[in-house]
Amino acid sequence: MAETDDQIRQVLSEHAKLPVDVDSLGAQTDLYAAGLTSHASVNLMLALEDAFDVEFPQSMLRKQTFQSIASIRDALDSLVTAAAS
Amino acid sequence: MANGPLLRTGIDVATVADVADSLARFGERYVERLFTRHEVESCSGTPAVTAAGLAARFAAKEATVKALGWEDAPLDWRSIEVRRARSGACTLLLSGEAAALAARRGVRELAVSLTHEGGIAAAVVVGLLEGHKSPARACRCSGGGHTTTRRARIEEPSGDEGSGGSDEGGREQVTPADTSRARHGRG
Repeated sequence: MAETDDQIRQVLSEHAKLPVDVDSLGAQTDLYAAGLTSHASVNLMLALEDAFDVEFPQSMLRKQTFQSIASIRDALDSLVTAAAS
Repeated sequence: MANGPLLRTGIDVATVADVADSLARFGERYVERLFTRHEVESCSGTPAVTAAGLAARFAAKEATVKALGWEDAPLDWRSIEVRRARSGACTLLLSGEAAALAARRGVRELAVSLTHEGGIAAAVVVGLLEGHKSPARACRCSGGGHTTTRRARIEEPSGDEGSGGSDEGGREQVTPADTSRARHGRG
C-alpha cells in the first residue's frame, strides 16, 4: 500500500500541478480542495494509466475516483485485481 | 411564467500552455479522451492554433459541467461537443449523460461564449430553464432524454488567434439533422 501511495505521489508531483507540496498531503486529503483542476485530473488519469499499466474505464471517470490518494489507490487496486482475474 | 431562477450558468478558464503540454505528453490518448473528431478538425492548424482551440473547447465543456450542476456521475467529455460552422459560429451538442442531465435539470437551451487571449482560453455557458419563454432569435428544441441534443449559438474568435470574438449577427446555426425539431424563433 505504501509503495502504491508513493507511486501515486510521484505521478501527482509530475502531472497534477498542485500548488502545494505533494508530500504534505495525507492519503485522505481532498485533492480538488488542494488545487487539482479538472484539466489536471485528466492528465493525472493518463499518467496513472502509464505508470500502472492500466486503463480507466468510462465508469470510473468520475470526480470521486481522483478525490484523494486513497481513492486513487482503491481505483487502481480494483483495476489490477480485475486484470488479474 | 414559472417562479425561481431563469438560468443556470457556468464559467471556466483553461491555460493554452497546459493543453499544449498535454498534447505533447499524451498525444492521441489525450485527444481521444476529451474531444470529438469534429472538435479536432475544427482546431486544425499550427500547434498554437490547435492548442488554443482545444483549450477553449475544454473550457466550454467544463463550463457546461458547471452550468448543468454535474455531480459524481461518470463524465465522458466527448458528450459535450462544440460544433463549429464554417462561418465560425458554433453550437453545443450534448449527448449521453450530458443530455440526460440537462433534461433532468430542466435546461431547455444553452448558450456559450468562447474566447482565448494571452495564453488563456475561457468559456461561459448559460442555460435557459424549462417554463420560461425563449428570447428572440434563440433556437428552440423539443424533446428530452438521453438522446436529446441541445444547441445554442456560440461566439468564438475566428481567423487570427486571440483577435476577439466574431459575431454572426444573431444568425442561428441549425444543422440539417436539427431541422425536424428545431425552428427559428426570431421575433
